[in-house]
This record gives sequence, structure tokens and C-alpha cells, in this order.
Amino acid sequence: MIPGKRERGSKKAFFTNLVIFLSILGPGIITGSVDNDAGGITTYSVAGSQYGYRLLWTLLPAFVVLLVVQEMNARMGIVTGKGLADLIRESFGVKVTFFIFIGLLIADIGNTATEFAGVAGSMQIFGVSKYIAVPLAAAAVWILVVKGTYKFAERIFLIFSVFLLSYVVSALMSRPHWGEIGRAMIQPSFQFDGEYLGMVIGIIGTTIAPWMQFYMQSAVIEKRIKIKDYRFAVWDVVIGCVATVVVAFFIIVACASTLHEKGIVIHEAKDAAMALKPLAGVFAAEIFAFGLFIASIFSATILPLATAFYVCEAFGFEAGIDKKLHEAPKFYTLFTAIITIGVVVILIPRAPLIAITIWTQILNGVLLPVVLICMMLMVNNKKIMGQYVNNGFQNFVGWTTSLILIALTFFLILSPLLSRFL
Amino acid sequence: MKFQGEIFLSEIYKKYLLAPDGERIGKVSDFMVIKGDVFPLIDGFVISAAGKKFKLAYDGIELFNRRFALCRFPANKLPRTPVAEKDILAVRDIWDKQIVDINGAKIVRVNDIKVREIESRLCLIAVDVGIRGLLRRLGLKHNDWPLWKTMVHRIPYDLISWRYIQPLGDEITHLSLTVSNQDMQSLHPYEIADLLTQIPPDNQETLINSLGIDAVAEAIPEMDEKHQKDLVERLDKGKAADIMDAMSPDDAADILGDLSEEKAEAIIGEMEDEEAEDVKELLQHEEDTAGGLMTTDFLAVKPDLTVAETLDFIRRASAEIEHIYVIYVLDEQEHLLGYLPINDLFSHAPEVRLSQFMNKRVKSIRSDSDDMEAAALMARYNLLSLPVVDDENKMLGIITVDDTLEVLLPSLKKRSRYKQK
Repeated sequence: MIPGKRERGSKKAFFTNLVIFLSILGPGIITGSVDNDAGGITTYSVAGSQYGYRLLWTLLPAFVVLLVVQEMNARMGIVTGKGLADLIRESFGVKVTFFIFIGLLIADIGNTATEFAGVAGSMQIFGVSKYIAVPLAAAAVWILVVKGTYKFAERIFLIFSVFLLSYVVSALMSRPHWGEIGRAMIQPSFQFDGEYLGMVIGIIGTTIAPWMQFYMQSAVIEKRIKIKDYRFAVWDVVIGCVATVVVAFFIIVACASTLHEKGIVIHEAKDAAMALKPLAGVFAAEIFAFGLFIASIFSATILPLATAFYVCEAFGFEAGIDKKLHEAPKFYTLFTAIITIGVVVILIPRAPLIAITIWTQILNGVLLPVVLICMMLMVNNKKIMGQYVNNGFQNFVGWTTSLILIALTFFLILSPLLSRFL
Repeated sequence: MKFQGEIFLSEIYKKYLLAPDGERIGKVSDFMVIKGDVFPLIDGFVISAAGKKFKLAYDGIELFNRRFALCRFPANKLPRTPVAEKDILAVRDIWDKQIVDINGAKIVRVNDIKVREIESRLCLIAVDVGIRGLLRRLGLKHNDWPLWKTMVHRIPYDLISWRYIQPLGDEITHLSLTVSNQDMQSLHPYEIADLLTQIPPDNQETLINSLGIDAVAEAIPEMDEKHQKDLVERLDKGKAADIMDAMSPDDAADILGDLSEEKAEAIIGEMEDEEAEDVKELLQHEEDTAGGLMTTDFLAVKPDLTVAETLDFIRRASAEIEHIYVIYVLDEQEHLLGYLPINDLFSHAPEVRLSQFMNKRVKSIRSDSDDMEAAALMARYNLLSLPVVDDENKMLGIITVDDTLEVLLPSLKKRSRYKQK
């Protein structure tokens, strides 16, 4: 139906804008939430328990970097209508693409394993054996993806995002010292030892995982957002980034005001939940574990799927869950294989989980600058982006971010070697 | 003959170009492609030497193989034409780009290109879209490790003849052949819709242009609403109007109803008068009512017509009207009097008048009734089509049985690109 002529009052304009905004909402917020996955929660918990409030300041630069990178992804998606994998393949050829995607594939298998470790850890708090919880969770993920539809999945994911706010409750129940928090945010404290810097890199690295760039751009395309609605897409990105950083903030606060004050040092996210029990009550511990569970399932769904999809996209194989098994065999094989390997790794008794986590993080760290440099080159290419290439400010922040991340990554890779020899 | 048999471009790419005396002039870094009679042709090699690129015409090559290319001229007498911006280059413009595999009705990516010399011209005969092509590009194919060899050997070839390719990018489109476009027309509208939803907007336009209006008009209604809206909004109003004209009016109305008021009016303004009239009428009905579901394309005749006259009328109208299985009998004021299934016409003598044997107990539905009610009515009375009338029993249109399927099974009509996440 063609609606009758509308009067364009300011109130009407506001509501029109609100409706457009709500219809665009999603990619940024979901990406922001997947960001706080099991690996992220672990890093934040460990950081909080070890350094108290002292690392909170890192969230500010992490926020800026996240925002800059995701805005570029959103813009590239809107302007070209092509996924990041597509663009990299078309601009840089087979070899670069192949090495990025082999890396991405291995890193994402590791990531998926850590997500299932998160499932195992959180269910342990509720007294469920990992040999029951992990296979069940994997089956649920597989069914949601293969039998569900995108709309249904997206709705579930948006609800998941809300559950992540449970960390705010956990943090408030831990009676934080707001004065100290304020001081820690304003006056960054630097400590030049390997462990401290490693933690800083860990926090920034876990906030900006390379595969998310691919996910973000594809999600924008799926929404079919047009360039005239670009500003709404940017708001979506901003909200997503704020949500990421806010959740991270409260996890650090929760662990800092309980574990750090009592001098308890932890190595895994589930340790945090366990340690919270006597300090902040059973309920706070269970909420923390519940948040971890939701985050792990959330990412364990999106990660293998996204990975299988980008690999197929880059190499021109049929992909998509609306395709039947025999129509997209490579896609389904990849997807199932990533989940299966992730599950098997977790179920092996005494699996070297910490080593897997560290190596995955290092691989992510190596890939990130490669992906970022590819992005910076493409987003400045007039043939690809037309008039929507980066402006001077965007280039300054983009290149600075890339350089800092490269420097940090070098440090992250070299520091274990250095500490061994020095 | 400069080369016998078939070879992949990746096997020549980055190989040395040698002068007759064996001097290394440079490396083969690309291939210039032009349109040919049957297949596109390689018109020359692009050579990189000392950081500079120049073209070497195919005639200037003595022979080439998997190890080197041999030039006819010594290095100092080599004609060096610079590469022009508008030249189409195989490596730059075709490798790694998406194309449509017409036989499989799917989007694939070019990993490699197979060439063959036919009548002393080098032809692009097929594209490699499989894993073998990827491995060849990565330089992993010729590896003497025995286990690797056996594994590679088991990978099937995935070649598509150039005849069954529909290019998507602007550059390769210039090489495309009319043959392939005809093959595109033979795809089912559903398959075309599926292809259209999988490619970026710029490429959609290329594909639409090569498909022709009619094929696109049939394909667009098969897409999900979001993609329909997105696609039609991007088209210019003249092109959109042409497509809407070719579409059945109910489909056109559905699509236009989803657009912004301005855009819809602009498109309707460009449409043929008769089609525009139908669409405007249909747009006045709410979406989930019988009126919103109906089409204005139906066969209507006067009661005093004979069987012979009616059959003649149907023959003439059948090009325009899709649904001819039921004929509706209307009076001068378009009031619905009765109906005739088409088989009834064949079982009566040619001179008999319709009023003598038409069915007067005709089921109809008011245009403002619920669409589910219409579907239920059609299911109960086993109707192929259901007439829609206004409050004075004037006939407005019909609902056909395939349209009710979309009401009953809405989930079937969804196809979107990144649905799997």
C-alpha cells in the first residue's frame, strides 16, 4: 500500500529515524557481544584478579580501536555489498587469501575449543559434568544452525546479548570501590614488566579478534543497508562497542573488588566464578557462571559458522544453511569439522587448554595486522570505495592502530622467547 | 603453432620471456583478452621487465610452454606498447572474480583459466573453479611427495566451458557472448532469483541487463521481500517500470507497495497506462486481504457469446493472461453471473451460447475479506481460482491457487544471502 502523504514534523522525523535505526540495529551489537566470548571473559577475569583496577584504562584505547575498525567494516560492506573475504580475494589474489584463511581456520578451531571449554567450566559450577554438557551444547549449536533460520537465530542472539548484562549484577554485588575505579580510569598506571604488558596486549587483542571483521561486514550486507542510512549503521557500531567495553569493565570490576582484594589469583574464568562463591555469595557466582555459559554458547554458534562461510566465500564454494547437504558439501563438512575438533579437544582428559588458548591468541595476533593492512589498503582504494575512501582522520587512526597492534603483537610473540633467554 | 594442446594460464604466469638469443627480457605478468567469435581470445602477453609493464602481441611470440615463452624479437627491437586502462587483463580482471555457472545455476569463483590454440589464435576455452585450480595457483600441485600426488590425483576437475559462463563484473561482460545469454534465459525464475540474491548490487545490474526484461520480471517475484525492495529501489525508474510492465499486476503491486511512496509513484508514472491502472487499483487493497492477494489478469466474457467465439477469444488472450483454466461470465456492469471451467467449453457444440450452460452457483469473496479465508474457501471447494468482488458483486480480480500457497506456507518464500549465521 502506498501510505497517504505524511507531514514532516520534527516528531514524525524522529520516529521515522527511530524505525530505520531499529531495522538496521543488529550487526554491531551482535558482533560486540560475540566479542566478549569465553576467551574474553577469561582474560578480563584474570586481569581483574591479578591487577585489580589498574588495567581498567586499557578499555579506553580498546574502545577507540574497536570503533575505528568496525566502522571501516560497516562502510566497506555498505559501499561494495561484498564480504571482506570476497574483497581480499579479489584485491590480493589466491596466495594472500590462502594464508590468511589457513591461519583463520586454525585460530578459529582453537577459539571454538576455548568456547567449549567455557561451556564445560561454567556448567561445572552448576555441578554438570563436561562429558554431558559439552556434547549436548555442541548438538544444540549444530541443530540451531542447520535446522534454524537466520531470523530466528538473530533474535536468539539479541536476547543472548541482554543476558551478558548479568555481569553488571555480579559486579554490583561485589561492592566495588568507585573512588578507586575512577582514579584508575583517569590515571593510567604503567608497569614495564613482561607480565603486565602481556596482559595489556591480551585485553586489546581479545577485544579485536580478526574473524570478527569478517563477521561484521557480512552482517551489514545481510541487512542490505544503503549508504543514505550509513549514520544509523555507525550508531549500531557505537552501541555494540560500548556494550563490549561496558561488559568487560564490569567483569574486571567484579574480579578486582573480590578476588584481587583477597589476593586470589586465577587462571580460568570458571575459577573466578568458584572464587566468587564465598566472597560475594552463591548467587553472584552462579550469575557469573551463567554469563560465561551464555557467552560461550553464543560464540560457539557464530564462530564455526562464520569461519566455514568465509572460507567458502573466499574460495568460491557453495555455502549457506539454506543450501542442502549435497548442494554445499564443503561448507557443511567444514562447519561440522570445526565443531567436532573443538569438542574432541575439550573432552580429552588433561588437554593442554592453557597452551591452546595462548597459541590461539598468538595466531590471532599475527593475523590481525595482516587483515588490518589489507583493510586499510582496500578502504583507501578509489576503485573499490569510490568517494567513500577514508578521510585523513580515519587514516591517521587506522594506520596508528595497525602500527600499534603490529608492535604489540611482535612483543607478544617475542616476550615468551625473550623471557626464556634473558 | 606456438603451443599444442591445452594449458592453464597459471602455468605460464610469471615464467620468463626469452629473446631468440636466450636473453631474459622479463616475466609474463598478465594476458590481454579480447572478444572472439566463439571464445574470447588472448591478444597478447603483458610483460614485466625492470619494474615496467608493456604489451607483446600474440604474433610476436614464437612459442611458449610451461617453462618459458620465446619472443620473435631481440630485446632491443621489441615493440613495447604500454598497457591501456581499458584493456581487459585475465589476471587482473578475471582471476579471482565471481561468475555464474549457468549449468549449475550457481555463483562460483574463477581460480584459473584454461586456454587452447585454435586456428593459430589462443582461445579462453574454460575456467577452473575447483580445488585443483587453487592448488595450481598456490604452486602446490607439482610436488613430488608421493602421498600428496595420490591425494591431488583424486581431486576431481571442476572446469566450466566458457560457453556456460555468465560474467558478473563489468570488464568480463564485454567479452560475453550472446550464446551464454540464451542459456541464462533457460534458467528457472527461481534459480535466477537465487543468483540475484547472492551477488553484490553492482553485479545485479550487469546480470539484469544481460538477462532481459521478461526473465527478470519472472524472477523478481521469487525473491524474498527484502531483496526485492532493495533491487527495485536501486534500478532507475524507467528500467523498473519496464520490468513492472512485464510482470503480472499482482506481483508488481506487491513490490511497489513495499517501496517508498515517492519511488513507487515515480515508477508507476513511467509504466504503460493499462498496466499502471491495474497496479494502482490493486494497491488500494490492504496486503493481507483477498484484494491484496488477487490479480486483475483473468478471462471475462459476456453471457451471449457462443462457444466458438469464446474459444477464439481465449486463443487471442492467452498470450497476455496466465490463468485461462476458468472463464468468468460478467454482465455489462461487470457483475459476476457465472463461470465455466475450460473443459466445459470443449464438451459443447460451437454454436451454443454460454448463458445456456454456465455454472451460476459461483463462489466468490469480498475484496476486504481476510486472505486466509480466501485460502480456506479455495481448499474447501477445490478451486483453481477464486473470483474477488466488491460490495455490489462487481468482479475485481481472481485469486489463483499458487498465490494462496504463499499465504499458507510463507516460510517457503525466503531466500537470503547470509541466512546461515
